[in-house]
Amino acid sequence: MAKVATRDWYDIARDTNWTPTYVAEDEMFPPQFSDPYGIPLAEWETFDEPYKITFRDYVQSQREKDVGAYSVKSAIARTEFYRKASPGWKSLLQLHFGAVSFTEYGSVSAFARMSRFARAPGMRNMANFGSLDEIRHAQIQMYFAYEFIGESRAFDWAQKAVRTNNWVVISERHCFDDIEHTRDVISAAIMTNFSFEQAFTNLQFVALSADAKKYGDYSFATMLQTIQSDEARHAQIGEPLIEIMLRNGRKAEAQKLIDISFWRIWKQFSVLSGVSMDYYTPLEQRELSFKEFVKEFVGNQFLRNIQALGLEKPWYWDEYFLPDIDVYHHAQQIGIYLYRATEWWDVIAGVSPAERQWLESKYPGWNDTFGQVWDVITENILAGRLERTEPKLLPMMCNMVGFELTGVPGKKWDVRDCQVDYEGRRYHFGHPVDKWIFEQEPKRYKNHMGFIDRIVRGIVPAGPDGVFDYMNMGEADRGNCGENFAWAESYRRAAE
Amino acid sequence: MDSFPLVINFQGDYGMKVMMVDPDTTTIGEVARIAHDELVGVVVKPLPPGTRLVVRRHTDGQPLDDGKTVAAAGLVFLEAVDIVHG
Repeated sequence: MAKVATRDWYDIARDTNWTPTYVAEDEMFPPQFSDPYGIPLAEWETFDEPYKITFRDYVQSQREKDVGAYSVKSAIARTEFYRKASPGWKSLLQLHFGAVSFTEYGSVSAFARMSRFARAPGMRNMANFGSLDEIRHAQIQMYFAYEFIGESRAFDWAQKAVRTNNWVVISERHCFDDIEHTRDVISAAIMTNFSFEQAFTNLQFVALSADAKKYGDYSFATMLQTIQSDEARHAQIGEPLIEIMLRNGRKAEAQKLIDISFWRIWKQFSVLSGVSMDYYTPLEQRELSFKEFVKEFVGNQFLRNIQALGLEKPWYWDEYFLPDIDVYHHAQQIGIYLYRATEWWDVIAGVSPAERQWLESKYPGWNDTFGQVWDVITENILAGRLERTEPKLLPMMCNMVGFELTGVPGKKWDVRDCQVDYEGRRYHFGHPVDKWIFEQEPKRYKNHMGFIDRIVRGIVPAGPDGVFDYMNMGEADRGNCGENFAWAESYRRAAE
Repeated sequence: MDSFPLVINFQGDYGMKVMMVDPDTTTIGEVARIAHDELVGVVVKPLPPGTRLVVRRHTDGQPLDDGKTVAAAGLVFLEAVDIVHG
């Protein structure tokens, strides 16, 4: 029997809209879940995904990806590679698997909601594949992490993280709950598929994959590549939605969704990818600096995508986003090192004399600013004052991002707190954009208790171990210096 | 009892910190001294000899009297203060 070409049946097969007779249209697709923008059904039916795939082809290509990723090396070889890896690469893997795996699992339900509530049949179809993608991403990352459990307890966090109140995890949950899980499916898809997946997943899954390949971690590189190939496909759900919004007079709403989500995801990736690339990746294997990767993938590619759709770059792009690329992750890296006991991974300083030279060349002025704090930390380690490398004062955290409220230290000191007093509570934000996001919808954000809020309001148990008990971190779970402070010895040798 | 949080923005530090104080007994001068002891030599380089620290309200830059208590200075729960070289 002659096979009918896909293009001849695809559109008909996935056009599964019908006129309900047992329930009203609004009961089947409640506006608050399906479309608060009031766009006519006929418009949603024009949704045309740029990348079309059949279920048969999908299964075949996913199987091939899995075969490729799982068979790069045997489990024994991967474990052997891990044992010989540099402390920085170990930190990177520990951070990645703990921070990323559960967000992938969460995305399964985000896509499932699109499959259920989207009014565009093409979107429902694509979202089904998206759910399957995210199941695969969660599984493969938990599988790879599990292989290393015998090497480090940190890999337990691939599964454990989401069930804890670790401060990093609280920050992630707040961000991804906001953009993926607590909005109607149109808003969530624009925020997730367009802002998050088109702008930023390239950083962690393509740029980091390049570093991994250069480092010789082919398993990790291949795994990241297979994930990104899925992201690249289902990220395309966003563009047709934006086109429909624009055609129906909803440009301002689409722009705002992007402006909010771009910034929220930027902060997460600035820390996750920024610290991994500029501090944890061994110097010799760094493909580009984080800033250079951001300028290529976000500054060029994503900006082109936004403008091609007829939208504007986010209002804060020039004034706040571009300068933030130079500073945010450097300040966060200091705090991550100092408050290492509160993190599940073993941290790396990444500031040996050669690394500092590299940082200064990529980020001119680094030595006069962030380097000033590292000078103090280095001196304390060399003098054996390790207790002075862990501050007794708690860090203040941003009420939007959930990370430390930071700025520029040292000779160009500039740390600012943007405050909002709302219904009797003072909120603190690390940046005017974080404050702006809060002010767009205070009712959405006002009840969130960040980690520091929980401490100062007595929600976290008192006592020296109260914070750790609250974060479900026994002594064995707490991060250490991954090099046992040996990195500072390079300064002593340099002085001699 | 030290159950009242202030947000400390110490000159030279990379980020803000939280200090728990007793608002009725802790003076502004003591806030500066505690911050100095906890942060200089930890995240900030030793200050030049004779450096005087000034505490000011972060929102409006209003200098605060060293001798007043936190409560008397009118600082609210989680008030942010800058501690800068005078």
